[in-house]
Amino acid sequence: MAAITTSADLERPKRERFRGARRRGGALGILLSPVGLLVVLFVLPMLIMVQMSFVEFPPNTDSGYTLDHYREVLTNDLNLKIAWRTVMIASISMAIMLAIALPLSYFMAFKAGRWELVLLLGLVLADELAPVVKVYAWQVILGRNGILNWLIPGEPIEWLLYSRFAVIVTLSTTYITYTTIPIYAAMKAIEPSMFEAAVDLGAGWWQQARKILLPLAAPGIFIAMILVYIPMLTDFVTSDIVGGTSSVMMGQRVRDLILQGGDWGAGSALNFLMLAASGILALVAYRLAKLNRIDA
Amino acid sequence: MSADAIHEPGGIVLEDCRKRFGDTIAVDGVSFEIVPGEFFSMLGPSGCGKTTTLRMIAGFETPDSGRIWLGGRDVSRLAPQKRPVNMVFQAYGLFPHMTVAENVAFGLRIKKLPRAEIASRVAETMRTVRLEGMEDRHPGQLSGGQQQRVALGRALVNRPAALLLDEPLGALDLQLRKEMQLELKHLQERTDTTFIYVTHDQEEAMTMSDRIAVMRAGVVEQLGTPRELYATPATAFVAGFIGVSNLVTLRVDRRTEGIAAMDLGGGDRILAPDTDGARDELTITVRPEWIKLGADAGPRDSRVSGTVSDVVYLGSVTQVVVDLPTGERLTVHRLNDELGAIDPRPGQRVTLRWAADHSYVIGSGGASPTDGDADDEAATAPTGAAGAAQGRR
Amino acid sequence: MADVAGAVEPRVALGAGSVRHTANAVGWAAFLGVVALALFGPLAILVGFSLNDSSILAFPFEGLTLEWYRQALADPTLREALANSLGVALVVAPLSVILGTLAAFGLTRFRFRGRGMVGALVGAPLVLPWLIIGIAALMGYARVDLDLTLRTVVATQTICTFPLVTAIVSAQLFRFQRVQEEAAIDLGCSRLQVLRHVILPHIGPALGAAAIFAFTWSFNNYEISLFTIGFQQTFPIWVYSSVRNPDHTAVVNAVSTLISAFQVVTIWLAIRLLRSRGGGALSIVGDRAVAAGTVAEGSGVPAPVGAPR
Repeated sequence: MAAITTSADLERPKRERFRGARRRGGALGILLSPVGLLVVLFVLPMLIMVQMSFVEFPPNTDSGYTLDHYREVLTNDLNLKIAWRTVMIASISMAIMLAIALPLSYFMAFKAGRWELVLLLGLVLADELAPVVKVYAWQVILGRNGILNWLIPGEPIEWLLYSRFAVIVTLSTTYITYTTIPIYAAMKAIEPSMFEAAVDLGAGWWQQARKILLPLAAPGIFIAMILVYIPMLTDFVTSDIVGGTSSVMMGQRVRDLILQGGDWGAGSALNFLMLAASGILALVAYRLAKLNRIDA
Repeated sequence: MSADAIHEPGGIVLEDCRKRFGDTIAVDGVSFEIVPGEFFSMLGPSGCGKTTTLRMIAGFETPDSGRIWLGGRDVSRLAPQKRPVNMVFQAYGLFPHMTVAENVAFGLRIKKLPRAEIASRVAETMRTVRLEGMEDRHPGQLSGGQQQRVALGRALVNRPAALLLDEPLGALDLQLRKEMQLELKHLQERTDTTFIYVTHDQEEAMTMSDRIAVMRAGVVEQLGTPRELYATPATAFVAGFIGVSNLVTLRVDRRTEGIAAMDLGGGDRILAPDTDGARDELTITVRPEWIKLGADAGPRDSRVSGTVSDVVYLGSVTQVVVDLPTGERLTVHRLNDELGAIDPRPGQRVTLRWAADHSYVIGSGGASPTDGDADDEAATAPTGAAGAAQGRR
Repeated sequence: MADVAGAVEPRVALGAGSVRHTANAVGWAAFLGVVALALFGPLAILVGFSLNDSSILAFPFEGLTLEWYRQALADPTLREALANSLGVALVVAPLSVILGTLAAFGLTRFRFRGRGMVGALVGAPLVLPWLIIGIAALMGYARVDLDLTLRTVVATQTICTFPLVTAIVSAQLFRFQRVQEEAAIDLGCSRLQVLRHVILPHIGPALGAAAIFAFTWSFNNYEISLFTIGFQQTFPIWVYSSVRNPDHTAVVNAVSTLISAFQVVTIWLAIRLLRSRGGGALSIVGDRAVAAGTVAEGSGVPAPVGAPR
C-alpha cells in the first residue's frame, strides 16, 4: 500500500510537474520587475537609512561611523517622555476600539443578517476616504465653536480640541476598520451551532462569551491589536491636526527631527528603532496567524 | 472485427505506461487496447492510478516510459491541445463568465471554424445533450445535472476521437447519477464515440461499460466484460471489488469426479470444481444470490451450517449474513419474490447450500459457472482488441 | 475588554420574550448608530459647513451658499495641488496594477524556493508604517543625489501601493478553479489563449477594482508624499497646510466635500466590481494587515468575510 497514493495527494505534484522546468523560469520572469523594484526602491533605502543612523555626520558617509545617535536618542528625556506618551495614547485608543470592535464584530458575524454586508461596506468606505480630510473633520466637531461645545451648555470646553482627548478620539475612529475586520473574520469562522450546543448544555450568556466566543476569536483579537499598534505608534497626521503640545507623538518627533531639525542621525536612529519594533510586531502577528490557521 | 481497428480514429493503445510522482508510483506498467466506439471503463479505488492513466491519454501527464497510440499515431509526447480527444472533468471546469452556448462553442471558436458551422454544430450538440432553450444561461444558473450536460456538450461538439470522462457523475446525487448513467450510455451509442470512463463505483462501471479494466496500485488487475469480471474474477481483489462477494478458503480433503471437497463434519462440506488438481488449498468465491437457505442439498451441492448474524431488508432481496464454524462468513441474498416469506432472525442456526459449479475458484481462469458458453479467451484477463470486441457484441 | 463584549452580545443571542427582544434590537440599533455617527458624522457636518454662509466654523448655520465651492475651484494653489495628486495617481494606479498583477501571478501560481521570502517582501510595505518608508526613501534619494520631484513621489508610492493590488488579485486567483484551465487546454487553447479567454475574464473585475483602490490610495497619500516631494504640493499636503489657517477652512470644507463625494462613488463602484465575482476580497481592501497576510501566506482568502455562511 505504500506505493499507493490518493488522487488528492497527487494533485500538487501533478501541477508542479506540468511542464515543470519552463514554469520555474516563468516565476522568475514574472516576479523580476516587481521584486526588483521593491529591492531598489524599498529595501535599498531602508539599508541606506540604517547606514545613516551609524554615520557620524549624515548624510556625509565619509565622516566615520558611530553609535552616538542611538546613545543620544535613547538617553534623551524628551524622546523617552514622548515614547511613553505615544504608547499610552495608542493603548487607550486601542481599549476604546476593542470596546467597539468586539460587539460590532459579533453583531456582524452572527446577528446582522443582510446588514452584515452593509456594515462591512461602511467600514471599508470609512477606511478608504482621504485620511487627512477625515482627521480634519474632527476639528469641526471638537473645536471651540464646534458642534459639541454648541450642544453642551455653558462656557466652551477648551480641552476638546488640540488635546490628547482629541487625538485619542480621532485615532479610535481612524483605525476602527483595521481593528474590526480581523476580529470579525475570526468570529465568522465560528460555527453558530456551537452557541446552540452551549445553550443546550446549560451555559449562560456569560459562559458562552467566556468559553466559546472569546477563546475562539482570541487569535483574531491579538492579531488585530498588534497590527493596529504598528501604524498608531508612528501616526503623526492625527496629532498634528487635532493634537496640541501635550500630545506630541513619536511620529511627529521623528518627522520634525528630519524635516525641521535636519538631524538625520537621530532621526534615522529613531526611525530604525521604530522599524525594528514594527518588524518584530508584524512577525509575531504573522506567526500567530500561521499558528492558529487564521489568515489575518 | 479485425485487430487493425485500433489504428482507426478512436482506437487507443497503451503500451507499458509508467508514471511516478516523487516517491509515489502512480501508474506501474499499464497496457491495453481500446477499439473505436467502445465504452471502456477504468475502475478502482482512489489512488489506483486510473485518473493518472486517463490524464496521460489526454496529455496532461507525460508517461515516464511506455507509449500511447491514438488512431495509430504515437502521441506519447504530444501536447494536450493537439490531441484529438476531449475530456469531461469531475469538477466540470465550465467557464462561469460564458453562457452555455459560448461554453459549448469554445473549442470550435479556438479552432477558428466558420461562424455558420459553429452555430449549426452547437445547435446540434445542444439537442444531443438535451439542453435546448438553455443557450443563454450561465453555468451558475444550472443544476448539477445540467452543468454535467454542458460539460459533455462542450467536449462532444469537437467530435473527439475519444471522450475521456473523469468520474463525471461524482458530484451528482444518487437518483440523478442513475439517470445520467443510462443517458451517457445512449449518448455513446448515438454518437458512436469511444468513451473512456474513470470511476470508483463498480455499479456505474457495470451499468455502462463494454469492457472494464479493474485497477489497483498502478496496475490492471483484470480486464474484461462486466459479466466476466463478475462471474470469473481473476483475483480476490476483483471479486471483492465487483459486487458483494463471499471469499472462502477451501482446503482440499478429497477429490472425486472433477470436484474438490472440504469436509466440515456432520455431513457439511464445501465443494468446488477441481480445475487445478495440483493445489491443496483453493480460494473460492460464491455470489450471494447463488446460495440458498435450507437443508435439502443434493450430492453435488455444498452444504454448511452457521449462525445468522445480520439480516438486512434491501427491498427486492434480503441480505442474510451467516457466520460459519470455520470463522468465515457468507452473505446470502434471498429474493423477496413471495409474499409472507419469513426471514431468519439473528442468532438462528441455518443451513446453506449451493451447487458445486457455483463455487468459482479464483485465478482458475475457468469457465464461468453460470455462463457456460463464455469465451475462454475473453475470460483470461488482458487479451487483444479482437476478444474485447467479441465480448462487447 | 472581554467584559464589554460579553456584556452586550449574548443577551441578544439568548433573548427570550418579545419585550426583551425589542429592547435588544433597540440597544443594537443605538450602538450601531453611535458607531456610524463617529465614522461619518464629522464628514457630514463638514459637508454642512461647506454650504454654510459664514467663513468661521461655528454653529448655528447662517444660511446656504456655494461661495466656498466657487472660491475652491478658483484657487490656483489648490488647483495645482489637485492636478499634481491626479497626475501622480494616474501614473501610480496603472503601474501598480501591472506590477501587482505580475507579483500575484508569480506568488500564487508557482511554487519555488524562496517563495516565502518574496511573499514577505511584497507584503512588507502593507504592514510597515508609511512614515518609516517615506523617511527611508528620502534618505535613499538623497544618497544617490536624486532631486525630489513628483517622479520620486510616484516611485515610492507605487512600491507601497502595488502590494495591495497583489493581495486583491491573489484573492481572486485563489478562487479560480484550475480545472477551467485544463478544460481550456483540452479544448485546444494555447497558454496565451487560456490567459485571454479564461483567466483574464475571471480576474478582470478585480483588476478594475484594484485600479480604483490604487488610485484612491495614491490620491489620499500624505505620509510618503511629504517626504519624497520637492516644492510642489499634493492635495493632502495642501489640506494639511490649510487647516490651521482660519481663512482657508471654508474652502477646505468645500473641496473636501467634492473629493469625498467623488471617492464615495468610485469606491462604491470598486466594491461592486469586487463583489461581481464573489466577495472575499472586501476584507483585504478594508485592512492592510489582512492584505499583507494574503500576499505573504499565499493561500486563500481569510475566513469567509462578507460571504453568506
